[in-house]
Amino acid sequence: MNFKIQKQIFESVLTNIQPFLEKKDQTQITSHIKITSKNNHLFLEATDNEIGLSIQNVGLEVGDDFTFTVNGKKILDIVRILKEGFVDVDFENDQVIISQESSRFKLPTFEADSFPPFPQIEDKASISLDSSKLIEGFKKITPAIDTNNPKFELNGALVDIKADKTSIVGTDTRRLAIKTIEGANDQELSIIVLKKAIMEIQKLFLDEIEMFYDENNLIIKSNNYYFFTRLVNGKYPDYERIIPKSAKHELTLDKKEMVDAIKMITTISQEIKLTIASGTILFESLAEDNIEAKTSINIDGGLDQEFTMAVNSRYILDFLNQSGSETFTLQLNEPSLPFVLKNEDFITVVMPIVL
Amino acid sequence: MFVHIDIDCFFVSAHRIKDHSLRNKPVAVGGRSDLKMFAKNRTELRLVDDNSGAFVAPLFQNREKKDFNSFFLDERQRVRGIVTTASYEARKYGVKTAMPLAQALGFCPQLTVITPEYALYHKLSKQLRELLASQIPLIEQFSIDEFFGDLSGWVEPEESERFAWELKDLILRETGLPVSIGISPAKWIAKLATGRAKPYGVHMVRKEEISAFIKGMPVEIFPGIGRQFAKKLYDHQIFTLDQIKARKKLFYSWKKPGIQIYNRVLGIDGEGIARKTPRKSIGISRTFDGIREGEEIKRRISIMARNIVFMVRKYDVNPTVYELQLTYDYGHKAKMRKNINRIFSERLFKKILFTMYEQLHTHRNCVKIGVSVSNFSDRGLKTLSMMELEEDMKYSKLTKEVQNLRNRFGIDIIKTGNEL
Repeated sequence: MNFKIQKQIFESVLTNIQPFLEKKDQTQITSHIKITSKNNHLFLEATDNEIGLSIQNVGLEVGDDFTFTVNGKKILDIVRILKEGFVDVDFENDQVIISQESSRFKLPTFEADSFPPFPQIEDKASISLDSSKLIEGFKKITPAIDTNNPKFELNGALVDIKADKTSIVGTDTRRLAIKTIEGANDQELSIIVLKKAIMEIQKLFLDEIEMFYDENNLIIKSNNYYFFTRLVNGKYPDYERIIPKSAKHELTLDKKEMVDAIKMITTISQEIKLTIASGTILFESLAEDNIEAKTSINIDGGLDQEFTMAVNSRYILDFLNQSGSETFTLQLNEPSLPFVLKNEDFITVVMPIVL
Repeated sequence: MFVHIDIDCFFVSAHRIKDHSLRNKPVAVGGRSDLKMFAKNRTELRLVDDNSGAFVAPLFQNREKKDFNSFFLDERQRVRGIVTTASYEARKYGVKTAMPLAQALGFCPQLTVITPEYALYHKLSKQLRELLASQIPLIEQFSIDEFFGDLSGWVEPEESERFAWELKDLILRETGLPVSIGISPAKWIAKLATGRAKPYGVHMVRKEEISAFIKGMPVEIFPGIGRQFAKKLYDHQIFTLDQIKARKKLFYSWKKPGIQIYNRVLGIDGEGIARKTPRKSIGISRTFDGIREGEEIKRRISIMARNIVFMVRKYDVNPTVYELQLTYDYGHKAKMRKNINRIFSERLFKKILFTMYEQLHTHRNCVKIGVSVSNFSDRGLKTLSMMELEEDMKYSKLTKEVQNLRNRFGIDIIKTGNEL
């Protein structure tokens, strides 16, 4: 039982599948890739039980039907150092042999039957959303999603499908990013998708996907990939309550000028102080030990009474990096209360530093 | 030159200022874990905090007088408590600091035991600090009865011994306190020299005399070498301070703490007077006879929390790390810290402490509770969570209002239901 495959193609599919492998414990079968040949097609599968990927169509004709597993990281390491050209993969006597010309590598396999099965599409409801908008939404709110929060649901994004709109939400409790997709939906649904799943979805899919779900899993299918992720079981914070209902002040600002000014200050400190006055915004560093940075920009309008607040610049920059147009809106209430950054249907609510 | 000023048997000396009958005889000040805050009736505790050197604990004080029997005898008429300070006359009988009082009375039956009066000690310590500040430009309060001073640029090195003798007399005249003074060009050697100066003397160790001075001194008398560290040194066949010099590699392999001790012992640390550092944490701990009932432990946690809340408001900080430590019989410890990036309030603090307690508690006898808060957000420029902002702001406002009342009428004028 063997197949021949171009090194480049093999390397690229193996690279794509790496994030789905169990990395810490190499004795687990989930650190292995399952390679299957069926009906003349080759499939590669990997899962760490939270997210999983099956690469459906490697574009290779294989004669025999077979299934085996092999350590995903090791096989990639081997394929990487081989030369350009074809690689031979043999599976016999419970061993995988990878060879090319006079080089030969041998790897053990695990019992392929104990490889965790993927959830199936059958009986699952489908989601009809504009997939490119959904993926764009994921991309915009990814930086705001928390990592390692003990409240597990905050390590994921909320997809909140309502009758008249869909909201994609991410937060690390200090800022909250929301991308809204207007448009009628026939079913209402609220699911929390893990951050690492969202990152992989962005890499794998662009368009033309089908989505299915039940209470435990979300499955995304395209021509080449079959992807699943376990959904986070938990109650996402009531995000609508956190968005300020009104704003005392509203300013339209130039994105590029703002980014340049903030980046200048962040050479000294990530925490910055903003003073908004009539016609200008002054940016200052918040650092100890006599180090100081100051710059300012001119703006149209501004505020008659000076408004000073401190903020972690990261939150503003993350928003600006993801916002599309040349200008954005800043909505303020009090220096110690959350403020809003807004660009069309993408907003970020940011908690300032209370000095 | 650095001077190190240490009050001779401070607590005893403090009482002797007022009460001349205590002079020239064996006297000890006793201490007991202060459990007054757990009393169910009103205690009118107030926070005394005009003394904020390193290692000086904040003090809760009420104005009650107490006598030996009510203070040191428990309900079964057993003598409890320990010696916190013993006069030199008492030390001759073998009475030592931290010795159980019952044992001390066994060694020296004629020992006069006095109940502590912390407000007096704080008052005198503050008075001494102010006097020293008027005599030496740079001083550091190291503990309630110890101070460092930097004489460089102020007193010529050869004049410093005479300066110290005069300072010692001045302190006795102005405050009534006997002190001993150590002098050396190295800060920690000066502290060591004070040990040689005691009682009521001055001892100077010049730079070239340091190695002769430390010769044969046991390692554990050096400040910063505790029981654990000393044990480690014994394992490496280091028993006296002069043996340290030859072991530079070993000490440097222990990184910062090792390097620091090595340099301090050799008098080459180059450390100056520590600037007054802002308080980094606020905590209280109390030891008591074992308690098994969860409700009573929770009540005590709640009371300690209230006292911490009072201090947090007093210092006007927003802590973001809460810690609960429970010690059970046989030294079994359970500890938990939580990062809470939210606006501080009494309600939130107690709620988090109780959830930590639920996760920590065992059914053993609890003998000690420690509660503390740290990582104040205003210094770290932290962004707090906005998830529960509205609620947090409401309760923070309530805590501030309650503080006004507690400032006027005492810390226990308002309690929460879970303390009853």
